[in-house]
Amino acid sequence: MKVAITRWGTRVSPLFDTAQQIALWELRGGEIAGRQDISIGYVPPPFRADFLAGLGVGTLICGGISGFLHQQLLARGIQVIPWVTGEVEDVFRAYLHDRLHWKRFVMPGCRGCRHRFRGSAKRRSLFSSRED
Amino acid sequence: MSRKSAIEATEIILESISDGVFTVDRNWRVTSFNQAAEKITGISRQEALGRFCWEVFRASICETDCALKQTLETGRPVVNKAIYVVNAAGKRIPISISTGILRDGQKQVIGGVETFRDLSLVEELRKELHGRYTFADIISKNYQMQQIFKILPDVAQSDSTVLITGPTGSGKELLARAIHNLSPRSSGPLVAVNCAALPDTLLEAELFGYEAGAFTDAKKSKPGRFARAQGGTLFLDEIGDISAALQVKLLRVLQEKEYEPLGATRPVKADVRVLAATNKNLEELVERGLFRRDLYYRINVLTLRLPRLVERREDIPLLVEHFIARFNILKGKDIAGISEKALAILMRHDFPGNVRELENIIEHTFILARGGIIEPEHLPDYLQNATLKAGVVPAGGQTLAEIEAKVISDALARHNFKRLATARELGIDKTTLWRKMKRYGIKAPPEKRP
Repeated sequence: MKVAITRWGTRVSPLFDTAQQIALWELRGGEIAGRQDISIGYVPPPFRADFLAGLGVGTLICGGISGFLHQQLLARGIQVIPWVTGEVEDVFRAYLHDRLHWKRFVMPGCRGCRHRFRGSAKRRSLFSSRED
Repeated sequence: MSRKSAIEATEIILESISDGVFTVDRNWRVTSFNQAAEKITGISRQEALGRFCWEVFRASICETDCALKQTLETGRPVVNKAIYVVNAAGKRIPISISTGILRDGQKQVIGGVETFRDLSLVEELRKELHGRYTFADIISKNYQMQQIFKILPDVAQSDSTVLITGPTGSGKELLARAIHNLSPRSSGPLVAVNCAALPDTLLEAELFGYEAGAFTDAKKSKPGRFARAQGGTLFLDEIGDISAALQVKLLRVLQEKEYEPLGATRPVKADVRVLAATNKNLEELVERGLFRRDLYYRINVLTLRLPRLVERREDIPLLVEHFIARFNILKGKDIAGISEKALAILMRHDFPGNVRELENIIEHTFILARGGIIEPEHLPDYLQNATLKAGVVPAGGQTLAEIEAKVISDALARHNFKRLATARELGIDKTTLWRKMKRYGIKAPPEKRP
């Protein structure tokens, strides 16, 4: 299982459509089996979903994302967790501990966004933590 | 006015205007956010204040080309830059932004200010306008082209032969395709033949087909293009290039609606509408005895003349926009548009290769421009060199004002006195052009429609 987070320096990129890098983790049996940084700046937006599918990404965590690209990713079976903000490492840890719905990881104006966590196999657990 | 009431007045003004306004401190945290900003972004002030500006806006330029950062670094404002932001529903909202530096009472930089305008309505109107200038894949707002658009449905409905004339690259095949698509034969095939591309003997076999044994290598029968276009339309491009012998055969098909494949003993019925095109002056060829007069009259039932691109310069911006949108899809790029300077270079060019040349130029720019806007340096070298040459005005004892007046009147003449197109070519505002015309006493000739 591979998890990608769009990266802008140490933070999550504000917009997937124009993001330049992703941080990619490979998880095996609940353990981190590998991590690498991959440049996606040269991949034009309409080809990004195919590019991520080609890398074997199962879950994408990103900031803003336009509806068209969101649909493209879902159509390729990639789980999308959008409207996320914060430091990449904190976000990844929050993902592992089902805390991405915590207020500090949600972009302004996106609390209760309809599309948030769509395609998620872990939807229930992602909403089950305590912090508001 | 006291300091307190001055601040209150500023707040009232900011809340009343329809442009979004926000300010950031030196750490990119939002420090103020007016009502219009709330409306455009869909984010309340309460949520936006204290957050990083890129979290609130999620703009196309945040990561790589932040306008506010540029302003704070260089001290120069950015004015009316077109970008898009993505709202929480995932919708791209086109906006125009302008930036400035925010200073305190001691002139110390304390952050930046950005104003932004929602261009959604403008974008919708632009699309609607674009639709008005589009007819069956042909884009133009030129008067001559609009006249063609007007009669095209009737032309398509009739079954008569049409002659399309126009220089190379002006869109003759596109027009033929439009006529076919609008015609009752649209469910049938459209078969195109370039008569100049094949030697005469081959062209005859290609058009009419042949029977087995018609000549040494004809082991099997082969249907010609007339047979393949049965029930549809045959488009004969470069018809001015066919030989005298073939002209006779073609005349027979058009008159009798039947033809004989090579080696056949019986004629075949042809249920085909013929559209012909040429970039040559057929009338002149007739006068010189190179083209049969009877065939000329037979194909010239109705003539549609496509103008050269220089005769419809006002279409250049529309066509550029169309090609950018097309290549964005074909090449998977995200080019937002063309800069005023690059467009001005294109407006000055004579386009001997017409629309096809413009299409090739835009394709060229797509190789060099990675994203954003097409700039002059992305254009092919020959255009840039031509601009450099054009920049040297032979002054010959003229004053600056005389040279300016001459440049303006020449440009106006090139654009049939259309002020917007002229201003665009000269890289100045329409009102500036109007002012200069008034100053130099340049007047448009009385209105004359073709």
